[in-house]
Amino acid sequence: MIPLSHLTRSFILVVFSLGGLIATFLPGVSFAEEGRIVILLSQDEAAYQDIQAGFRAYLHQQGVAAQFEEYQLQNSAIKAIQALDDAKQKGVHLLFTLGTAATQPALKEAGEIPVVAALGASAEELRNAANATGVVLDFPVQTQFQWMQKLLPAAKNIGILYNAHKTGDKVEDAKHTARTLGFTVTAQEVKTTQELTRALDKLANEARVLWGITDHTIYSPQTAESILLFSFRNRIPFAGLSLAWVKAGALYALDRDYRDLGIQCGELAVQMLRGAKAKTLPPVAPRKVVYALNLKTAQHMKLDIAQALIDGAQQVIQ
Amino acid sequence: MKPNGPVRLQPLQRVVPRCVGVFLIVVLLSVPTITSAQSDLPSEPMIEDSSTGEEMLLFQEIPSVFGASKYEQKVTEAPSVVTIITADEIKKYGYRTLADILQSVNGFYVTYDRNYSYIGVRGFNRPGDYNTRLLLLVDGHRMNDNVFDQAAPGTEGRIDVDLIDRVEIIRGPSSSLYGANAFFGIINVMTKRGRDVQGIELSTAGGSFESYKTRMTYGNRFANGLEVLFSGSFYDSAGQKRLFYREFDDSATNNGVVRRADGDQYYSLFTKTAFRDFTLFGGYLVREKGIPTAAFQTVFNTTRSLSVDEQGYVDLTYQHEFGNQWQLLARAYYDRYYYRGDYLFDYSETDEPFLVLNQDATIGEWWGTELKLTRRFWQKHRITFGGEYRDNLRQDQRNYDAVPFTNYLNDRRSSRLWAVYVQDEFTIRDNLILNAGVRYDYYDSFGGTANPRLALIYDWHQTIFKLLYGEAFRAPNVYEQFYGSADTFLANPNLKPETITTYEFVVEQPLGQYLRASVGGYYYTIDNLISQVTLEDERLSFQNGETIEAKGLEFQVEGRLESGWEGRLSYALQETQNQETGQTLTNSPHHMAKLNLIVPLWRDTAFVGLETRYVSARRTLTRKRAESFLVTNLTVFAHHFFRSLEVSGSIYNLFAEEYGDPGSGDHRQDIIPQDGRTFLVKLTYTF
Repeated sequence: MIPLSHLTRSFILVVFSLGGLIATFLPGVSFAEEGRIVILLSQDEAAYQDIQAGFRAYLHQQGVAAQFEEYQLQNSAIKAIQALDDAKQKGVHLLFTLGTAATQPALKEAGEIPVVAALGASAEELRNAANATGVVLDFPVQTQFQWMQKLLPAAKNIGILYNAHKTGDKVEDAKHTARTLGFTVTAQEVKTTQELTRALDKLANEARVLWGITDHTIYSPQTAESILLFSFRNRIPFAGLSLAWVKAGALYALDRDYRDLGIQCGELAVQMLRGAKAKTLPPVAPRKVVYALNLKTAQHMKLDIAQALIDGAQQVIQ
Repeated sequence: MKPNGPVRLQPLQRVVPRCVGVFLIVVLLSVPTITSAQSDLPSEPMIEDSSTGEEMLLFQEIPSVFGASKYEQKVTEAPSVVTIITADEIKKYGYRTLADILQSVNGFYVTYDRNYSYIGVRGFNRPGDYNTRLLLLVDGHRMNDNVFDQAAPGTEGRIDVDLIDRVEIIRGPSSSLYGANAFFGIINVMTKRGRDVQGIELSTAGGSFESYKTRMTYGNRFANGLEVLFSGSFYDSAGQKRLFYREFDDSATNNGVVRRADGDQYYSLFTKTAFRDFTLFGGYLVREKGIPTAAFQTVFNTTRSLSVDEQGYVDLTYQHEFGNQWQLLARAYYDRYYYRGDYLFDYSETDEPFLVLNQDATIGEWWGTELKLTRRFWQKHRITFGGEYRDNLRQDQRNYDAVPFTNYLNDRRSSRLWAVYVQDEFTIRDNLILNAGVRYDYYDSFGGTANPRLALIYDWHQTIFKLLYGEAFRAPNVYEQFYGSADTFLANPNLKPETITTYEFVVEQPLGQYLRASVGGYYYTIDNLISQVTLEDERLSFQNGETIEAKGLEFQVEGRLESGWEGRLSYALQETQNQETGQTLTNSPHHMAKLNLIVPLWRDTAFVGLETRYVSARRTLTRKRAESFLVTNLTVFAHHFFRSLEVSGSIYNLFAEEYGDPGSGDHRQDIIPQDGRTFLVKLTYTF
């Protein structure tokens, strides 16, 4: 063995340290991190596959030579617990959860294991968890209202159906944001399905647009007909929740670019794998907005949609 | 004034035991559910499922509104069989009047005597009856006048069909909520609002018989929530230039030929203003129609016999919900109706004519108010309380010869009525609803009447079963009671109300996502029927007396696809008899079959609306047969191809079917021939 001088040992140490730093901060340069990432999918949805694909691609691009293990939970809480137990036994460096059925058990059971969640928890739930961050479901209210302004510049009164228990805070946020943007909000609380028609009727005279908020206690395939018929009959456009709602008769819906959403999750995961604590990585909203438009609905409601907005839509129903 | 005779009404003492029985049933049925109701839990709480989250909203398939717009929840939960006709169908089928709409509906048929249109329903359409057994509502406002009780569906109708947003046709007796005239059903017309127009809409149409119609409508909804609609329409038709009636085929009456006596003209105004909880609307119509049939033994082949109808109304409605608990509807209205009939008589008893213009004049004027409160109690009971007061300020009728002036009738009167009602929509289980209601009406002319209705609605895996029972009444109107004129009419102030009792069973079944079928059977009896009879001295008079029994089956399949195809196929089998004589009623077809189909020709731009209706033979007043007929109408409609322009072309009675409707006692004609093939072209543009 060739003895190294103290100087030489110091030089080698500095070179390797610098190399490690460069590898850490330059994209595409491997930092030779390896780990086991468990992916929990609430169910087999195309959107989840897109998110997962974006996530994996980003990690690959970053040179993370991780070993992925995937669990399909089929919306089963029992399967989620079993998967988490299994993951813990085998050892896991990061949990990537997609959807509520995967995320909620993980937030409770993961302990100090880093969790990156996509769409399955609110920002508050993520902040309150031990070591979790992620991308939340909703766009910021401001973003949603700004799009509403673009698409429906004459609609100054926004009608909202809400369940105080679930979305009362969101409605308060909406009222505040609306004021800053020059809107007014007419909100109708709905406690039971029987109250839906009455609540809609009360919006008919005031609201110029009905804003759908992600609350499955109010918006579901079972209530869709009443809501969309109300929108049609009263010529109050419905700002829907997804492409499916737009196909069914909503005027438009903002949607997420699911692959990009996976990349966002990947960015958070890389930082957590490098040792960043979740407290330093606040949950984020989807950053890329795409939208679908229903021109058939626009025509029925005698609304003129600017050609540029039609051109910019990801999908146009006509 | 109380009635003197043995009036077969439903007085409280008869109805109270029934209601007690009903509520006992309700209480028994509710025993298992009262406990949960008392716990104050919502009967249908919003779904809470921890295993699936809000993101599922993004992935779920949503049923399209384009395919479902006719099937509202309330249709299946309604305590009646309901048909809805939308503004879209009105355009695509080329409907010109409310009568056109109604005769396309299962179980309905329309008789036209070249002056007024008469609606038949469930095998019942009495000659000389001015649609008094149907209640016509426009935006909830009662349109039947206070002299004839007439619901006017033809060009004499008080509303331009272009202003109709939708028509709800509700079958069965509904006096338990609406009082008189809701005998066979209700025709509820919902008009368009400012938001439905959003600009100035110009429409013009032209067609057969030198017929022209123009309309201008302005509507808008402003940023402050104010919503306005103003509309004016003008219609003019020369009518058939030549009509032939074999009953007048004599050299003294121009060999049965009438020339240029079928003219029809109207103009109408309509306005609606809404702001917050208030809606103020009103309308005005004047219509003048030539009478080419020489009705009432008038001179044949003259343009001087005509009828003029004029009606105006204004209605202020307030709707509000107090503290998410009480829903209030308050309404106040004022109506005025004027009718004038010019009838040219030849009083000569020699060959030298002595022509005298006899005039009928009617003025009706009334105001009223209505209050309705609805509240849900213990989650399961949706209870409606209401009251109504109507003051008939004028119900005047005159008849006189103009020159030389001779007065035959100058009847001036007024009357009042009030009513109270209660209805409970009781959700016994999530899939079982009991609807029970009763209304008590008091007329200062003949006293009081109470009319109940019961409906049990059961949803078994989306198959809806309805078991319906209802009673209704029709008060004798002022025309029937007090009209008397020289040698033609005899007044009958002692007329009593007629009543109907109906039993009905209906099954409604969705067939896949887009189709819905319904089949139902009904049985009804009418007591103390008021009908026009010819007396021994050949005068006409209204009399109580007949008891009618009817039974029928109604079948319908309807559907609408997202691709634009839509339609309905219906069949009605009906048997309506006079119980005493065992004879089938006049103007009562046994079979009716109807096909309505809208086919998209090119995307969402061009459509064909095809309508075929078959009506079997009907007995006439002389017990002869008005033969069966099959009439087909075809409309091509296009929109969205050049800005907001809409174009339609319609051919009515495409195959020129020759048919006629039974005449009434007013006519010498036993059968009145109807129009052959006619056409209409229409353009509408919104600025």
